[in-house]
Amino acid sequence: MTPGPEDAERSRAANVFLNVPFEARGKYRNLLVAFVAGLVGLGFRPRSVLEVSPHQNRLDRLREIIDECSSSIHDLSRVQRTQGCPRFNMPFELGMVVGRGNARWFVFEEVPHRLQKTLSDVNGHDPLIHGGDPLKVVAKLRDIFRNASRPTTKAELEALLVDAMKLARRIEHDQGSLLGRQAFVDLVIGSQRIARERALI
Amino acid sequence: MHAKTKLARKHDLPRVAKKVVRKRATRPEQVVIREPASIEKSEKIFGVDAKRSREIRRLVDQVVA
Repeated sequence: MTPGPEDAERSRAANVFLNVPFEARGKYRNLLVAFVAGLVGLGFRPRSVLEVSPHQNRLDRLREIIDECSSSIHDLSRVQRTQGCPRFNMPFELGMVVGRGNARWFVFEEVPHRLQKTLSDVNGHDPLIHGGDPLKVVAKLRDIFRNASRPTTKAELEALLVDAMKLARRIEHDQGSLLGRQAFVDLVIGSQRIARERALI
Repeated sequence: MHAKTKLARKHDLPRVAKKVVRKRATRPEQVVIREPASIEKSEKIFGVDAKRSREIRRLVDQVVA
């Protein structure tokens, strides 16, 4: 059965486009898990370019995913060079979202005031500062996203984050990395199952 | 004499004019969802079949056990 416009609209309201640095290890790996766990615990569904299979046209699919989301998160804290080159994907994807103009968008940074230097075009939109700390990520997400059907406490989100970290380690053990299509899907749906077990959703 | 009063007198201004209007910290407007995202819908969106769904459940059971 084809989903009706109401179903599509409900689904779009829950979808949040996640534009964050993708790294298999270290700080950014932990932040990715925190963004997924935090959004899931608050009743939202993270979507990402990681969903795109290598056989698809990445840019076309990216546009489709962005259009399926009512809001988006952009972590612009990864400003270091990788093998001598800066990474432009994150500001590029923020530009795509802003350009399409049909979604709420939020910018995260690790340190205060740096965004004014790296991306002055968004001056006037205060970034949410996470300090590279997964616990701060879930706390900031709780400031901007809310599940009207059930209030979610900070402690509940932190407990979900602990379980999501364990789940991420299992997925990495089985699949080698979190940065694949299957691994991302497993992390999102697995976190949703844990959130359901904890009666958060 | 209070510092603000002193400053107001120095510039020949009424005391009230030197009051500092503090800028309130802006908090972004919340995105509110009425109905949380369902697992079943997620599985449909991500194209998760029954076998994969069971595999994810197995992983979750290991974590929450």
